[in-house]
Amino acid sequence: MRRLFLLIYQYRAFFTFIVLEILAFWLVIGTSTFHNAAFFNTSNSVVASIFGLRQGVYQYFNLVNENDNLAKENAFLRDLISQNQVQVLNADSTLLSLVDTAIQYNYIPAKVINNSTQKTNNYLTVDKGSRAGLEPGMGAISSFGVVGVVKTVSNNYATLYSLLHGEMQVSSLLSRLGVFCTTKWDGLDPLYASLLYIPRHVELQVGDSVTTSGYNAFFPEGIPIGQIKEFSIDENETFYKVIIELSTDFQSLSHVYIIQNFYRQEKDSVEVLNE
Amino acid sequence: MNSRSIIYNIFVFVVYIMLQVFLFDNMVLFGTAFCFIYIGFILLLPFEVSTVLLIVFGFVTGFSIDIFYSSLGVNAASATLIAYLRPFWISTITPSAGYEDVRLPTLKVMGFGWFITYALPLIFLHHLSLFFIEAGELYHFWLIIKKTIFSSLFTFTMLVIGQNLFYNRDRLS
Repeated sequence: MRRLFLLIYQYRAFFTFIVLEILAFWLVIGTSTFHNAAFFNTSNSVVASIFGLRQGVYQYFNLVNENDNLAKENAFLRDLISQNQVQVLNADSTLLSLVDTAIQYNYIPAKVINNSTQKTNNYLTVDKGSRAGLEPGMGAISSFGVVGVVKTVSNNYATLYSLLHGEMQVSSLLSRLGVFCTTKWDGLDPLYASLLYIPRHVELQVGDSVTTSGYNAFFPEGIPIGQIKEFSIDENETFYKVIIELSTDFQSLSHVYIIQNFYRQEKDSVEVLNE
Repeated sequence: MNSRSIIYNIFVFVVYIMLQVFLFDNMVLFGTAFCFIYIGFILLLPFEVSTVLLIVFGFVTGFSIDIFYSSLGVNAASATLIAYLRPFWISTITPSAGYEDVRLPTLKVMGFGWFITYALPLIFLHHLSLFFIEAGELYHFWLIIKKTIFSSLFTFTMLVIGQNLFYNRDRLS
């Protein structure tokens, strides 16, 4: 026994090294519940308030851009209002579905206080948390399109998986053709992503717009994701290789809307019943 | 280490973390060159710090960065690795007679030639392991090598500039 202790003491540096490396890799692999514990995360209030301070300085450099984006969004919303007025006049059945979606989703505005675009797995931190009604699994969008999904929440902050995350997949729809597919970021350029599972028989065009399909409970139907930039297919492949240009500019993201889906639990529980 | 130098080193630690989080988090050159200035904290600790303590410091530093980066374990693993290798590397590049009266492995004390042989391989190894662990696969092999090379040069340059501007540890501790 004494010899064992002597041995351990003699190689204490090596053993410390091994133990800490194992701990680190255990954290990386993420089999632990640590990963979703808000404490070891950017939604931790100390870390998040530091990000808040930083954002307090940074946001001034971005004001011009921010105003531009808001003006564009206002124009878009005004457009929608005028379209809706026409629909009210016609009073057809689509009005009912519009009212329906209005009740189904609630949008919580939040400020982005930390954001990365250059890593293999990117995350965002926002300044709203469980007090504002955020829960893990809610979708987030910007004025221009899909942004990500809430990962962890603390009282006043939340960490989000960015769309630019290796494991994020968004169920999507090619709106012109009505073809369903999946959007996935390929880990290189924050401006572009890939579309998966578009079969050979579909006739694609550059510029086709890609939106959310509404098949998962994160996002409502029809939120823009991007536009097809280029596509190709090999002789013996089943699916197209498609690159899309993302409609959200992740590098200048400053505000997002978190989507609260009132029917999500209901939808999930029905789908669980089916399995 | 006396109590004064402990307080001083805690202060330096906080400065490194803040530099990394506030300044270098967003400073990515050409989408490939990242700067992980925080490993300067481990590289520039005095020679006398024991290996065990060094490894623990390495882990704590990496882990603190991980919390800010939402990349739990990635920086911790790489920083622990170079903290463990540092004493071996120093004894390899030190002449057998050893040095007299030197306490800090810094640029001013040891000279540029020594510092480049000392720091650059360790920085390279840190970045290489970091990018591979972060990617978790070998799919983008050459991209990772490219990122490692440019990032190592970037980090090294920043460390050299930083030491010329601020480092006065020889006065203290």
